[in-house]
Amino acid sequence: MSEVDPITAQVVREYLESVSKEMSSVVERTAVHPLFNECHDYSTGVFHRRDSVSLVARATAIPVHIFASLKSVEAMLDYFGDGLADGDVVILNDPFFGGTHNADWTVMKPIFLEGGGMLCPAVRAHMADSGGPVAGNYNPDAREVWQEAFRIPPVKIVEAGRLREDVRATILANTRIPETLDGDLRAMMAAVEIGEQRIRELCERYGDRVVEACVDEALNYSERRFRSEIASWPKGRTIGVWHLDHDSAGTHDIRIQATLEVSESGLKVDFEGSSPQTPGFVNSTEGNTASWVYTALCAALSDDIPINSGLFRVVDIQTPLGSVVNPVPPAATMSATGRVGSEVGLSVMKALEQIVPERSGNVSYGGSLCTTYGVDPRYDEFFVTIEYGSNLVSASAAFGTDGWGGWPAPFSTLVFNTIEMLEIQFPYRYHRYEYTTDTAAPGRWRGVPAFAMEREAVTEQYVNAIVVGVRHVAPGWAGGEPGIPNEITLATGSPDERAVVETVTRAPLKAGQVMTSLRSGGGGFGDPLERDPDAVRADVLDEIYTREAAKRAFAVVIDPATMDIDTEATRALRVERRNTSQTAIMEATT
Amino acid sequence: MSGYVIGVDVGGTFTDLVCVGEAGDVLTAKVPSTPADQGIGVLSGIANLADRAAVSVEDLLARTKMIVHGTTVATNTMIEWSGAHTYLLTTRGFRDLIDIRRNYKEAAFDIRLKAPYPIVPRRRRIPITERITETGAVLTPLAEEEVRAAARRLADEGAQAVAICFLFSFLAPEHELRAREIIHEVLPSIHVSLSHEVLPKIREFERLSTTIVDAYVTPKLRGYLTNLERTLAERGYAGDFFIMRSNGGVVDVGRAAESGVQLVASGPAGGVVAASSIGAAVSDRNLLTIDMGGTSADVSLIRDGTPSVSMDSWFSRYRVAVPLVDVTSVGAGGGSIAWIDDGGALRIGPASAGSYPGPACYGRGGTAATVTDANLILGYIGADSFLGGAMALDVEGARRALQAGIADPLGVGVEEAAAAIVRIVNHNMANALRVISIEKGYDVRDFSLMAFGGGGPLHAAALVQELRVRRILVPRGHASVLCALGDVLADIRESRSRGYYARSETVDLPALAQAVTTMVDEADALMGEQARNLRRVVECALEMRYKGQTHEVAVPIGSGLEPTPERWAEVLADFDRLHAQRFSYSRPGAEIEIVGLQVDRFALRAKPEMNGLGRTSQATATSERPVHFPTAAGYVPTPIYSGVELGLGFTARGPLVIEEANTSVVVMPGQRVSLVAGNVYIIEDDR
Amino acid sequence: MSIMMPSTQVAASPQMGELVRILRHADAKLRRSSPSTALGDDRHAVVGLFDETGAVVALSRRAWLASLAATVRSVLDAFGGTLPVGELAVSNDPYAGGTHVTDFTVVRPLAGGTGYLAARFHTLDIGGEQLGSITPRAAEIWEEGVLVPPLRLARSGQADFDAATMLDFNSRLPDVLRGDLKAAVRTLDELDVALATAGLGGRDAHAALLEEARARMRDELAELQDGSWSTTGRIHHCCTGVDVPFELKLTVAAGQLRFAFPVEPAGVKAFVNSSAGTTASALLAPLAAGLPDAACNAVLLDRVTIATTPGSLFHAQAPLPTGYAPYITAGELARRAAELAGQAGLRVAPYEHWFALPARPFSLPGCDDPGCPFPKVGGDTHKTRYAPGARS
Repeated sequence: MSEVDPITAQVVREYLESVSKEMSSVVERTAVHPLFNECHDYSTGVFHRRDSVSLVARATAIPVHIFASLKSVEAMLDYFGDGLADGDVVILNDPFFGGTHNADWTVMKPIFLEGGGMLCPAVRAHMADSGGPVAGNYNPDAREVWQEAFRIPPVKIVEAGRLREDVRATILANTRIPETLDGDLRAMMAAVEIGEQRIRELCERYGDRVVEACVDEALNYSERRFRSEIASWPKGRTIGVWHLDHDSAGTHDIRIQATLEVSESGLKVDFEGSSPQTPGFVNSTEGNTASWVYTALCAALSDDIPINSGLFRVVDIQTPLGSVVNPVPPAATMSATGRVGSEVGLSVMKALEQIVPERSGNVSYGGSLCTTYGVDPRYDEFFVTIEYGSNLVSASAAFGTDGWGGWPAPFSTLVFNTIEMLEIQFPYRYHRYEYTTDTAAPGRWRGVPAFAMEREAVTEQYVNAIVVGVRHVAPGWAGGEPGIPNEITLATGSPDERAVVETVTRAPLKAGQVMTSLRSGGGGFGDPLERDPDAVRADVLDEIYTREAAKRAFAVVIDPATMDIDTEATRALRVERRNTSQTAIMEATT
Repeated sequence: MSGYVIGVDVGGTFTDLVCVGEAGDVLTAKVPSTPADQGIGVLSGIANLADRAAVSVEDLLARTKMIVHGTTVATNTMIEWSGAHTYLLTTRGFRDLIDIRRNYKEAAFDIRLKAPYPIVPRRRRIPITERITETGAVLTPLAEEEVRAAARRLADEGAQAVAICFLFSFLAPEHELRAREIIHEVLPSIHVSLSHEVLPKIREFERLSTTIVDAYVTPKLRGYLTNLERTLAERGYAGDFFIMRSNGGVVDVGRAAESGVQLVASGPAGGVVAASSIGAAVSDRNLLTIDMGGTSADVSLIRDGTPSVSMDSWFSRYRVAVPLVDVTSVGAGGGSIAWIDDGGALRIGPASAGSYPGPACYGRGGTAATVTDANLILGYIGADSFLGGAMALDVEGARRALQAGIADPLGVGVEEAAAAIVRIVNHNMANALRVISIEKGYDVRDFSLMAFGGGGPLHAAALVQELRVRRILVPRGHASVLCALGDVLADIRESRSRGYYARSETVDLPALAQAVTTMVDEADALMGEQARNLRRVVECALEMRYKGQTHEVAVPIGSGLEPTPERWAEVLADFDRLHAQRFSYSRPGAEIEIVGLQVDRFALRAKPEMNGLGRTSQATATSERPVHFPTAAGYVPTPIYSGVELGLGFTARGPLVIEEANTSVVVMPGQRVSLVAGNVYIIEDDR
Repeated sequence: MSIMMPSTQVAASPQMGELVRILRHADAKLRRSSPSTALGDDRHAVVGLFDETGAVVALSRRAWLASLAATVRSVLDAFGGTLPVGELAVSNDPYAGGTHVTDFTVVRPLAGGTGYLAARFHTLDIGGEQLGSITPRAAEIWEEGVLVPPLRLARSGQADFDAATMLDFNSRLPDVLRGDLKAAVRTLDELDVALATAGLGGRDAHAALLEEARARMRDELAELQDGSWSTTGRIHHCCTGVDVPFELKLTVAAGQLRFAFPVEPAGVKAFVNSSAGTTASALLAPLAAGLPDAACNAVLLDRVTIATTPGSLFHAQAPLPTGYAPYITAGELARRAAELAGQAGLRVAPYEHWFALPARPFSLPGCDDPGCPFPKVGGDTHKTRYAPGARS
């Protein structure tokens, strides 16, 4: 590979990142289903292959797709070998072809360069329904991939520039919303067209050979940035463990163990010791597991390192085959992007907490999942969508900041729909959609308060719901307190009221009945006794905590009449609390 | 009255003024801004103009029929967080939507990102029992005693402004109106912003955030405008006093003082309005603009002479969903500092050397290498002709900064380091221009590029190579006071919009047509006196989408809607066409939803004809110096012209540099520059 | 009292006799070599010859005449009216001529381009909730299995391996499905050669055979009297609690037969909705069973029209499941059609075995209903679990 000047390399890298942004704007403009263009549950990127496949550039988007898209491009190239040519567009969604779960479809358009190299724009998105037994494809009763969704192994949907109508018809025959999916598929294909056009302009300008040299330099740049960030990390081995409550199939306390080894050569993350794959639909494919490892690592680094294979080269991820983090077919995988995926992120963060505590914090949005479907009489049409209200918050505190907003930064690219748009599009009426009092996890910095939702079914509809984070609640960080258990209750306050225990499918909500949920925020950070009393007082004024909770959790005494801090009483209470906790520790360890 | 029109634009560092007489004579002034009270800067600017016109301030004001003022009071309030002590009344059960922000966070991965500044902390967000449904029906009536209790609390706690945002208020505003009445019974003079008046549109988060910003900035803005109006009146001014809004239109000072959020991002609006009218003067109606100042470069898009307006903007981490001239800020400005990161990449900004100590070559102690230092080393700026010679630049200082900061770490020469900085800056601007055009479904190759501000004309010529735009336009002379010029040129504009829900197959055409006409009449009533004898134009549009979609398209329907099936079929066909252009596909025959109506009422102000230029026979270069051009891969002896000497008809082949008062126009080898009517330099490929 | 001539005594022409023999030989070859047909429900397997317009010339078996014809029609329409030589397509779409998702039909043109061959087999599994892709729990077709509208599997002799592999991935038994497809393709290749050597591949041979069929049909229906007859029936399925009455009417006018449903129930959320292909095949079965081979082709179909409303229990559309319609619903429709045919003086011959419940492949657990035809398996009666209400 010829030597290329670093400025040209930088110009080419930033150009390819801009190409990803342009592809995102095309996708967003042309997609149809709100999950796609209102919630932005998609990602775009540019890949390269010479001897191996690498991610070169991506637009900021759902991190769960980061590594999985790379696996999909690899799968496409292995699958077709040299049977691919310019003008072909390949689509796939199968979890065992580098996917995450069947709902994530990837569209790729390879561009072949002189000398055998290849650049490939790719778009990946969550499709609202891909056939299979359950609307929305989250089928807690699934024990195998065929019970989840229509499987698309790598297929040329366009061959040498000509659309294969029959392949498209077969794909659209296996969805409950063909017209919407047709629009979304068209959006993804329009995006890879723009990607190809921009890449060809780049290659015309600099020549294929120089562009490929720049791609290598782009990877080297990210590798240098990543290595310099972790150079200061203490060497050695730490183990992070986290558990998932259940897999909706009778398996409980599914263990994810991440052994993080920091050495001169880089990082190693070994999942030996994690549970074997389970009958339930939480099995996390290799692509999904790796994406979550990088989500945790990137959250611990500075924000502006370009995510590409230069990063991936520094990290060696070992996932035992047949384990819940690297299942063999025909394992069910639909729920893994949230459940098990989140626990992979948490276990890596728990390992990082032991070496760079000020960088630790929750990165996952995992927790309850609720899809609703039925027929909306206003439009006499079938509808199916995910209800984010039951899983709206999970941001924990972090070093120097209380938890705020909804999910942690890595998942803030997913935009929640608005109440007014939801009530027009779906037969819902929301009674409550806000934080609650005395539920924020205490710490020197506190977690985001738990979120309460009350949603009335305007007409009869059906709910599939999974509740996790009950046996294993959101963890605290660097001495912070954990969150509270999550809840979903159906037909609250009616004779049919029932709390969802782990899983429920096809549960009817009669017209007028209300579904309520309480979703815990992330954990606190640091010792609650070190929280600035003025911050505690502000929380009490904001009704985040009651005065009693301020005293109980933070040992801060507030005068009910003046609402001022009784500094003397607070100081004394904190001294007394520290002494009692010291003696408790002494007794425990002797 | 000899009918002067004065444009006054207050910027971050300077207050620019343009005074145009009926005979087309133009006076400009540039005075330091006075952030404490921007009015002082305005008055000193007017005094400066009066001196130039050798008259007293009172005489000048007496002979002025209109003052158009662009102010950043609202903008600065949102930057310094110096607004009103604001409270919020909202539907019970939905108290925290402003904190949740639809899950938006400005970081890709950083879990330590801090929360935005809380304009209305939770304790000041008062839930009120009331509920309106998605059809506009009242499900739960307004609990008036709760509003009365809230009003008493506002009085006790010294509230200065109240925002009221109830769900679906854009379909049924009665609860918000009644709540305001009750509050005014207790606090008659307090400012109350109602969400259905500020932004009568679906999506409660966007409406809530915009209404909170409106309540927060309006009191301070109203105070400023009322004082300035009184001061001008005391100095004998009796003409019309207009204010530039963020959508590029101007309104009477009374109207402007009612809603501050309309002025939050009004700074760049003037410049873009000026750009569109200058472009039209040289028959270039499709323009990309790049305004490169000291700290950043702003890019925007103008299509068919109309600046593109966006409703998707954020300002100081608050969603401001009123129509703003769509300006995207790109990192690099003249003062942006160049540095090498720990991965060995050359980074430009975001840190800036500002105006003090400023770039190394300013010789005020700055040691960091900036874009201006690079431009000096490459010869685009003259060491002794900068700012018309007002500031001599320290070339050695620039060399030392570039050597230590960039050349040595990269292992290259100083000239190579300078060329690398300019190449990265140009590349970032090209990417930004490409993204903003694709987002609206356009291709850059259908556009010309207008460059202004201190740095724009320095970098524009190089962008042609990256973007293949049609040609480059550089407005001459007034480039540095363009925003003030925009104020003078802008039309009076009153925009009204409201939610209106119907379906293409079941729509009641007469009712829809009537709704549009009512809004046009409302806009007229708001126009006020000044516009009565001006030619009036109205542009109406229906916001439409295919059933179930979430992105609306504004379909222009001219001055109103004839309620006939034939016309309606035409409107639906227009929608299909516009949808295909904007979203690359259409579904003729599919059911279409109408979700809103828009009316823009314009009173067209006579565009003052600015004096034509004196013709020039053939000016000669005043000097020559080596200048670096990437296409020539090195330094080339380059003729330097002085802009002041050039007149209409001047034309020359690149490479050359034209030095103007506040900028330089760089022309590459293989390009030709000519100065045309409308006082604009045109740079094209020299075929 | 049957007034029709005992047509079987009038011998078919030598060409028709030879054609039926060749088709039946190919049919037997398919049953032996296709794993699913050998192991599972072979009554849906059939091989057929079609002229270049897609009209049925002759079939190896007559049970599913109407359905196979409709599937070939939908395949040709999907590719612009013709399949060029060297191409091969497959479909299991019940809403486009088929019966239920497990019945795959392979269609390919004759090597000479003068007509088409088709082979249908009931494959063991094509995904969905339950192994065997038929489940009483199904409230939607996607719970049964994957839908394959006409999909091209080969072009100019080259396999579209990505399309074929897509089918494999959606079956729990990919080797079985791939084996079935290979068996069908090999059967049709050999059939093509056999027809050519027997001089039965050309356009004029097909025209002659159809002409013979028209003549034979004229004889069969010569003395048919005009008139109309109607009867009532019930579609009853104990395990899913479906019990729906309907009314069927037969009208004969100028030698044309017309079936209609004065009472046509709506589709149900249970796996007994009959596709148009299944309904037509069931109504024609009593008549077809008695016709000579020569008349059991497009000529019969041209004589009969069937009026159903899309989306009804007898004209299933997405998402209505159709898994057990070829047995339960088809059986009842055939019985009522036989009753009316008899009254109209048409000869009816035995057909019931075509719609009998399969012993294999995967017997479904019965329910508590005394008349439940399904065996009880391990005490797990599925009535409670599968009642449509629970599955809505």
